[in-house]
Amino acid sequence: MRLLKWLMGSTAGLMLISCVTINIYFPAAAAEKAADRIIEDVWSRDEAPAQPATPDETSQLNQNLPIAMQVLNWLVSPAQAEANLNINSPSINALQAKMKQRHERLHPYYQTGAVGLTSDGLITLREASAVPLKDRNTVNTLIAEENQDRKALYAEIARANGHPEWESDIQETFARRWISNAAKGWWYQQGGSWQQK
Amino acid sequence: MSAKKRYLIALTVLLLVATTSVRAIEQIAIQIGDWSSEQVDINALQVEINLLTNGFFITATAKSVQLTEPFGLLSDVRLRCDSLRWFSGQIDCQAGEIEFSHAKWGHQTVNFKVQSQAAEERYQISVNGIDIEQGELNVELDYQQGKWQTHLNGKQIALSSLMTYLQPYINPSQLTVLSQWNISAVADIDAKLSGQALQLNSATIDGTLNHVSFTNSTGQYVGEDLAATLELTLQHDAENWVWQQTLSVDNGQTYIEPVFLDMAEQSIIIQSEGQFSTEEKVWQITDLQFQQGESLQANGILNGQNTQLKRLQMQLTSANLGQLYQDWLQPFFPGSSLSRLQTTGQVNANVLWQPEQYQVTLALHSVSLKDEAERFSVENLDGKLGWTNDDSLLPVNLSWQSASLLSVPLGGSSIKAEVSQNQIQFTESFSLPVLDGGLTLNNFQLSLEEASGLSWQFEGVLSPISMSQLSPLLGWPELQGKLSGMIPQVRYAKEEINVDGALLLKLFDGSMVIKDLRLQQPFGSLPQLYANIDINRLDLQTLTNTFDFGTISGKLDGQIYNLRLSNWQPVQFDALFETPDEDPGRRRISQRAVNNLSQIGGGPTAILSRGFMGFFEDFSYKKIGLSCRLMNSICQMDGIEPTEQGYYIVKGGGLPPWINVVGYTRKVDWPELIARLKAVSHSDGPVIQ
Repeated sequence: MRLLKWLMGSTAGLMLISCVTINIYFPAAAAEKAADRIIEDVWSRDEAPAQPATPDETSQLNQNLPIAMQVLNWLVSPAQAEANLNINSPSINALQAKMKQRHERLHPYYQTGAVGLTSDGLITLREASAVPLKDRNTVNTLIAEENQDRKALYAEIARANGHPEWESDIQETFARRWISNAAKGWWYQQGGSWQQK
Repeated sequence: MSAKKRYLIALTVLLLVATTSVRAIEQIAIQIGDWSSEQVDINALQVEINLLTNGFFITATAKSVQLTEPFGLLSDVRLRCDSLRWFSGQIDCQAGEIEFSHAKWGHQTVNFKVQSQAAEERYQISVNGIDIEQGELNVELDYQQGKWQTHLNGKQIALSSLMTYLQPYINPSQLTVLSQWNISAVADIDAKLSGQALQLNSATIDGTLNHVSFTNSTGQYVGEDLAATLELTLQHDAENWVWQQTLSVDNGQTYIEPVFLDMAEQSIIIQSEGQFSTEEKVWQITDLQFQQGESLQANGILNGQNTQLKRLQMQLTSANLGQLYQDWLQPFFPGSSLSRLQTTGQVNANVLWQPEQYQVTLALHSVSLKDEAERFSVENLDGKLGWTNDDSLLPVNLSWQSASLLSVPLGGSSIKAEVSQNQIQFTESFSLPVLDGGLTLNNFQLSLEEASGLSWQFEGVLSPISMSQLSPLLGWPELQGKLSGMIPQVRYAKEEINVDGALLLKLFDGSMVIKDLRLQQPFGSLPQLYANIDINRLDLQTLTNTFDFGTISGKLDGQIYNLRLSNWQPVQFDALFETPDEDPGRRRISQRAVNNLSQIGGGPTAILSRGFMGFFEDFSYKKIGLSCRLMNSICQMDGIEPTEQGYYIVKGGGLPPWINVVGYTRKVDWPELIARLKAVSHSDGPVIQ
């Protein structure tokens, strides 16, 4: 009887511990995938529409499906959301669209090395002299606004997934992925010094 | 000096003396060879003297002349004086020419005039045509018993070439500073200097500078292709230097981080008068004037010691706030809520600064500010305001014609307040018209501390605002009702607004109470709004008619807890709506409403019930209820009670015919649900036969 009590007690204890531990894990692989999806979209400079447009498209498609199929769709989509880090909220989409639009204007400055990627997932003015005087303040503003949006994005992804405490993990993940996805010739910070891709 | 050389010199002098007294000799050529002294080493010197009626014609050549640094070696030196006069201790050369080559100065042919009166220790020298690369320099020097005056006149002198001449005179620490800068300019310069021995006493310098460019190594301070004129006078008396200066720049561009000025568009003039004591290193600018067209005019008095500013007092005037903002204000707030404003109007300012103490007062005339992102605006702002960190009291008296905040128009109003010690406090209660209602603020207090940043708080009353006016401005369907509230306290600190107390929204004959309202970064990239909302006794008939949903009658209670709006869009909440247990009213639901509800809850009911639904217009129900827990774009749905496979959204009861609506879907994609709701309210509803 005692043995049984002890077994039940410790099993319950183990379950409790395991419940707690699950919550602490940061889904690193999913975060990398999510970061890549956003980065690829923000930095893609083709004329194709941005990814965030998809929910509207699917809902339009769904309206033409039989109702039973729609029900099935509803049941399936949450399952995917659980496996990934969700990056498909209206505010994330809005930020992403703003950043994508801004990238058109920032792109030449990445190319010339005037602007570089920092090791904490932001950008900074690296080589002021590569920017014509009259454009200096425009570039400063672009950088400040981009950094605000990036910080807001990291915080929002964490909040939207129910874990505001993941913000710094998400920022770190993004920092690595921005650098990894950067085009040849762009500058990034590593260990306090500048490197060129 | 070797004995042989001494002998040679003595011989030369003897010969020279001899020639003056013996008229028969009209030309003497002397081969001196090498000449050496402490200051000079001359190699292969030859002198030729011709006797003229009014003096001598003299030429001298040397293979090389080695002078002490910084002059160095002159080679192929040829000196000529067409008319050398020598009488009663005075030696004149009215027209001379010297020619030589130098490693740095190149080949030079320079005209000179010399007049010397050795007895009176007076020497007058004028040198013309010194080539400095593409430019030319003329020098006149008048020296008498230790006092001297000089007049320098340079044309097209390149600063870079001047630096090669000046380098030896600049001390190493100054050279290190200069090496971090890249400076170039071409100058026409006219300078009159006077002094005694090695001391400069006065200077008057007029200069025209062209193609001035400078940059430091980090590129934070840059000038490109500037054109300027400079007038400077300097006077030294006892221990003080007194100066007057005017600099006007009328071409080119500068970037002095973070300010960019285009002088081609608007020239600037800087004038100053002041004095500097060499002993104590104390300086005073008694009159400083700065002029940049309409954008900014400033004048002031500055005091300091060494490189430290000790006191500043300035008056600033801008007749064109738009230009002032663009040039001088905007660059200081990149990316902030103040970084994209359209501004017009006039401003006067007084600034008083001393270490750890400052006072700023502003007078505004017809000032309008408008955020380009349309988050806020104010029109025709007039009056006075100020800011100080000391304990003096500065009055604030501001009024404006109209304003707006987050697309909600606000009326004109005025503020009376006092500023002291980094704080502003309203001296009268302040009313702000908001649509047909208004916000009254009491005990408003704002402080701006270096450590904690901006914070403010007030107590307020929101008098009823019509939702019919407010709702379209917020992008909602037109709602009937009133928004009002008693707000014990609103606090802003660390970019977060906290509202204590509750806002009351009277809607659909019921009420919504908004509590625990928090707003983070209201003007940031992604404003976050948090709240808990209680909903009491909404009239469903009014509500369903507003949204064209079909008709449901009865009352509805509800709650929306843990609400979070991100960028004004709902992204998270726990919501529950249901028929109240007490006094639920007459409860009927129309066929169309049943269909629409069943669509929200997963659809199948609509298919199942088609058979008999067509017979009736509406049905009675006992209870209606739906909950949605939104998270991660997924709405977790539930109803009033479970059935075998789903949950009841509507449970029938009362007089027949009655109907049950059952939902089967537990998880609904939120954007899709919204799309469906929109589709429902815009569609004519399903046709049932």
